[in-house]
Amino acid sequence: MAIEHLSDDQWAEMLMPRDAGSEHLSECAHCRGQRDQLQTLLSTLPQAARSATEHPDVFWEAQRLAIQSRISVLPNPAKRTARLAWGAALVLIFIASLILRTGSHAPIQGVASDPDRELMVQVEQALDGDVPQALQPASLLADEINQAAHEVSTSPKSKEKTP
Amino acid sequence: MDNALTLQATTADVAQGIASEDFDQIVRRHQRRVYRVLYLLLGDPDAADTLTQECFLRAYRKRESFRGECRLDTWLLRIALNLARDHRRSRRTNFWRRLVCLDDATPDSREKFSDPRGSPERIILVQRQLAAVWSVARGLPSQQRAIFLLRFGEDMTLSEICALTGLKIGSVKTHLFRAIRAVRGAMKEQQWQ
Repeated sequence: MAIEHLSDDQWAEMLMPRDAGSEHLSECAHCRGQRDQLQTLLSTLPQAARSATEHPDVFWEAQRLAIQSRISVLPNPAKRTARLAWGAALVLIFIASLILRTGSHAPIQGVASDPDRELMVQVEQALDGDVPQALQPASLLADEINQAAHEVSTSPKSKEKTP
Repeated sequence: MDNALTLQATTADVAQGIASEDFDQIVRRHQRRVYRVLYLLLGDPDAADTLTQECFLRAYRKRESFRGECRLDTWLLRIALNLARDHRRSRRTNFWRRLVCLDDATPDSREKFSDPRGSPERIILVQRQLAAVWSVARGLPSQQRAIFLLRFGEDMTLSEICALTGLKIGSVKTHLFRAIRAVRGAMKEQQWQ
């Protein structure tokens, strides 16, 4: 067991020079008498407090039993934690099932009812096609030009070979 | 003996809070002192009894948090001190209840705070003086009263009071000096009467 040594304040008090009051007390019987009276009175306080709070053993036993019974009705922290964990798990399962249920139906309803989405789908389909309908003659023309260019590029070679 | 028991409890109970099965033993060991301090602070035996129960109940709820930074009895008395302060605050808000308590506290303490030793005259004199001290103490500001009663009613050292109240020793001394001045004044008045 570690011994508690004197604190700094206790050392300071011990080493402090005796104050003027103690010198006065050695000379003044009046103040000395008052000091003694006060000391005597204050020294009786602990005993007075003890006698004021003296009770038979029955009182202490009843108090102890009352404390015990109040403690016994307190919720057990381990049980409370387990209950909380179960509650949280149930809530999570419920939320997860709600999300899954709404998740499977939502896209179908959304496509059917959203005109913007329909438009976007049409635009996407149109862009995915080869050429827009309005530009089909131009594409034919472009094909012909390409073909002619190909023929021109191949014909001089054949002329060079024939003479 | 009491101190020895307290120190044993301190070393045994500190490591990981207080085990619930040890709690009944702790109640047995400390209930008298907790009750006495509460009675000193409140001057009301019923309130002291109720708050003693409340103190141990609160200690039981917080037993896991007790790590032995202070002695077990200091920890319990700190809880008791807080409860007494809260009780007085709540009582202060209730005007009628306060009136009743002021009326019936002084005669009760006069009756109970008596030194059983000595002649009948001596008993009467001490009884009167103690009643005067008690009534002066009741009129002191809350912290002064608590410190005065812990020092002289419970015979605590200044360092114990510091640990209990969380105040510095200088503040404790100041409160104590003021309280003693008030008690001296009351005694002088009593002598003149």
